[in-house]
Amino acid sequence: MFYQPNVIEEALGLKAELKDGGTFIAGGTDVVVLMNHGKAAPENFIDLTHIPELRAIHRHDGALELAGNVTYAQAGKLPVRCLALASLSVGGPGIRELGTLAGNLASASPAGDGSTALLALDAEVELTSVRGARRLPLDKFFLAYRKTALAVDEMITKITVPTTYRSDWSKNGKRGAMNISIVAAAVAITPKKETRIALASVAATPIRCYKAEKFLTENGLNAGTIRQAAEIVRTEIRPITDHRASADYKVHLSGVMVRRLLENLVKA
Amino acid sequence: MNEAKTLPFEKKAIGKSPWRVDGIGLVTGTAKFTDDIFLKNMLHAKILGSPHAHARILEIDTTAAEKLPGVVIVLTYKNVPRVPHTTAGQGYPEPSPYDTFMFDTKVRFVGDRVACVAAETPEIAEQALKLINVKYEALPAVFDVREAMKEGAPIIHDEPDADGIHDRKHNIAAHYDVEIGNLANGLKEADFVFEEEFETQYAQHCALEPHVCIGYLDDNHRIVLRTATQVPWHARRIVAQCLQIPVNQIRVIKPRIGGGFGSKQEVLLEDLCALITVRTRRPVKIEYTRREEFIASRTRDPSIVKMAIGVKKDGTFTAIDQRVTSWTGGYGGHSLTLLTNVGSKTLPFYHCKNVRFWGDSVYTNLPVTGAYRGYGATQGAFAMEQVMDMIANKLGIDPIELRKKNHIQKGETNPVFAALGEGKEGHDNPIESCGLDECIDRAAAAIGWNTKHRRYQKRDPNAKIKRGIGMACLMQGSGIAGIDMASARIKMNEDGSFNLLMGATDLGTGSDTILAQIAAQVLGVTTDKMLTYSSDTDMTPFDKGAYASSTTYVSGGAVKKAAEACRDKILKVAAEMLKEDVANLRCENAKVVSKSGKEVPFPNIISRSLYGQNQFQIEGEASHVSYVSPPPFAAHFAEVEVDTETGQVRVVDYVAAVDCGVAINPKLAEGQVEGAVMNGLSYALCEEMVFDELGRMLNPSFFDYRLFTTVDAPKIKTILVETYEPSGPFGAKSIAEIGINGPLPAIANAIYDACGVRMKKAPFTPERVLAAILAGK
Repeated sequence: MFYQPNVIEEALGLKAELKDGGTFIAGGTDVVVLMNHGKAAPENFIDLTHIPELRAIHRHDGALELAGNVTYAQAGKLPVRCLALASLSVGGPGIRELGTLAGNLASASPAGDGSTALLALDAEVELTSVRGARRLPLDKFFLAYRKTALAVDEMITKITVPTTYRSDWSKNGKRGAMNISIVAAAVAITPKKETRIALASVAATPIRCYKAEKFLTENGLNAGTIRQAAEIVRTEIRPITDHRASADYKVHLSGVMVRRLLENLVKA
Repeated sequence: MNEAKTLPFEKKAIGKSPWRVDGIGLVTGTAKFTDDIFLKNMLHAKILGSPHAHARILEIDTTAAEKLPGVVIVLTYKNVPRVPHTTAGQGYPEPSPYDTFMFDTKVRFVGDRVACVAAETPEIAEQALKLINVKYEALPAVFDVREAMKEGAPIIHDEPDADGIHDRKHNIAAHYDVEIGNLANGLKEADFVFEEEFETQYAQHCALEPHVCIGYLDDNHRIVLRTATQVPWHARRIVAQCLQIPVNQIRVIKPRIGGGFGSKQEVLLEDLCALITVRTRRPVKIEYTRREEFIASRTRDPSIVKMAIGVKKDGTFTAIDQRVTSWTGGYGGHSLTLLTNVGSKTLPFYHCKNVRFWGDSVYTNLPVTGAYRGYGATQGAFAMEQVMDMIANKLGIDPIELRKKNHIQKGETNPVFAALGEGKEGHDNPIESCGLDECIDRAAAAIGWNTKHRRYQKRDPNAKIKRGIGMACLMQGSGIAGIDMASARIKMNEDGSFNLLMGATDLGTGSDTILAQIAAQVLGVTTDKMLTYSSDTDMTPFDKGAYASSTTYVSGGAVKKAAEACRDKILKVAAEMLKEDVANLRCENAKVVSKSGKEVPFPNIISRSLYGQNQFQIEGEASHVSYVSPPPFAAHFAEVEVDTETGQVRVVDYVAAVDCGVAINPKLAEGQVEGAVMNGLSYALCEEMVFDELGRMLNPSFFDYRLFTTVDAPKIKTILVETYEPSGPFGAKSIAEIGINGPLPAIANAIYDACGVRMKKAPFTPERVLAAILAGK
């Protein structure tokens, strides 16, 4: 069945009833690909694209509240540098019009561009079910390879992103367009001068580099500490070798990318 | 400088870029590709591919599959004729070993044919494949040619009935060795000897349309194969051979084709379609999935090219030794000719008295390689043109000057042409047109070579992102001399239009348009007066097929002759009507015009011929074969940016200048060059089929196998340098392939100019470039 609810409550009711037998679909840019590759065969879809309130973007003091269906194309216009750049690096224009940030979080791809940018921004997600809503910092959201903290009846209804961070983004792949990254990196500096570093494609989920962050937060940002932090990043990650690149290269690349991003942020 | 400025004719229909004759159909979607017809009662067939790289099939049980409702027939080695053949669509007798069977009791790569099911729907066929129970005895497999040639390596072709394999104990499908002059003496005379080894990778053509074939029986129970092929006549002949039936029982129709690039110079589905349709008396369709296209169709043969070049201090070459070892995969189609083409398209390019070419094409348990745009020349140019750059650097001369000093010129030939033919001795090939120096000069000026080469590093030695510029010179051929034959027929209609019936196969290249322009030029009409119909073995005369850069040159030669024969008949009728001598008449603006000013329009002429006096059908038919293969020449220049910390290479500017003879259709000629350059850039920088330790491809989808997209395209400038090739139709040469050979060496040389490292292994992925940079430190 293909359900098309018009309000969130109806969608949540369906999900509570169908549980694993019901799959949320918004842009379909992940789930349809999985279906084409024979890796998913959902029995029922709950289409979220007919729920207008899920498209909303609200601005509060120092933060943006993005509803669950905000697309990459929408996010590409937001005044949050790393999120906007990450969103614009996803697929081609067609994919960006359809694909959503929340969908990117829920599918928990290790290469998720949006997820990685949001991680560096200390984003929070609101997870809602018929049982009520709860808030979770994003770094508690990804549990394992393609596994998240979403309960079987929950939906990502909101993503909260601070607008007070300075941030930047970089992605390296085999080609320039419609790319899956070899490594992607997001960095941010909080108003309290704390550093955030997130990487994609170097672990089972998008990850934060806590040791390097802590080092920089304690020692401040300058050319020397940045170089040391990049070295720490290299020791903190353990990517796998695949057909895109070797583990060693991904480690090296991560170090270079983080260093360059931070150098640019300090310069700016 | 520009030889083409004084042409022995005036460009009318040629030298322009009219709308493609199939253009409106293509852009409005009414053009019918193979899969765009729906036949009543059509079956859908699917192929079971081997999960093993090398295994013997001990038993196949198809009972369960046959019992599945909707399954109509299951084919395995048990119920098909066992006929050794080659799938390579080449002229007969093919210079490839007969080492392939419709189905065999052995599988030789992951994806090799095991069984085929035809059912009412593709889903049922797919489901039935899972019900086929195959008992395999896995055999040791070998994936590297160096290992495969060693004593004691697994023998991939041990079947006694295979024929034409050079040395099956060492897995050598084909071997060649020829020496001109005395290589050893030549090396002794040298002041410097450059010995280098280069290696290229597996890649797939990635034509948008996969291999697809629909078979059905016509009213008289003959087999009709509607198929995406570059070689309709070879397909008909090979299917007849496999099924052991006469050629007259088969008709092959080539509809619109969505690209081939060589992958469709191969008979992969037609034999199955024909057999299923004969056995079931029902239409059947087989279409490869993208995954099958990667693993079970054909690929570019990776090659190891070892060069040793002896050179004097003044840049004179005393010896060139080229040794090639290439992967043919599980089967040997094209093995010999791919091998020899590495040499035949690179060695005659430079003056040198002492030359040796030797090499082997070797079986492994990896996907089968075959024809792919460039056909060995790509691999050869990668090696040769990098060594040229090394020599120029060592001798301290400009790479341009080294080429100009040594390259073959108009009026010259090279003994390599005759020594290295199509897998055997070839034909001498005196060069009658060569615009290479103009190509070099114009491309160098366009990219700013003189102000950039060897200069960037002096400006900012500490930059992390370094710029560099490189160049390469290239040659290919125009058809296969003395082997390729084409024919065409032109008949006149009563409104003064013409049916142009030709064997030539337009696989998306635009050749129908180019050939129509050639005919229109001869007959003095506009191109839209030519109604083209091509590649139908019942309806059009023979053509060798679309490969080896042959259509404009060889098929164009046939069309020109056919048009001339038709024109002569028009003039004869007009002479009667105008009471003039034929010698005083010419065709112009759809009329016959006399020197004295009299004229008669085409419709009047054909009307008289069809309905009036001395009635007959005005038509012309001709065949054409050329005993030379005039090379197009090209100079490619690339400017790159290398990120020395990540290894990322970005091409910032690319200029390709090509001597195409006379450009029949400049826009289509530019399109061929740009398409080939993009194809080559993608191959040089990111395309690579990756395999695991069991020979399974790890990236058999567009999700994981990365091709360049339009967004990745650098600025590409194409310069058509016109010369006049006397043996070509209106001075034309063929240029479909040559452009793909440039990016590998031009970018490699640019990377060297940027950061001093030599990329001897392709593709130049960030990881490989970085490793080279770190190793060089």
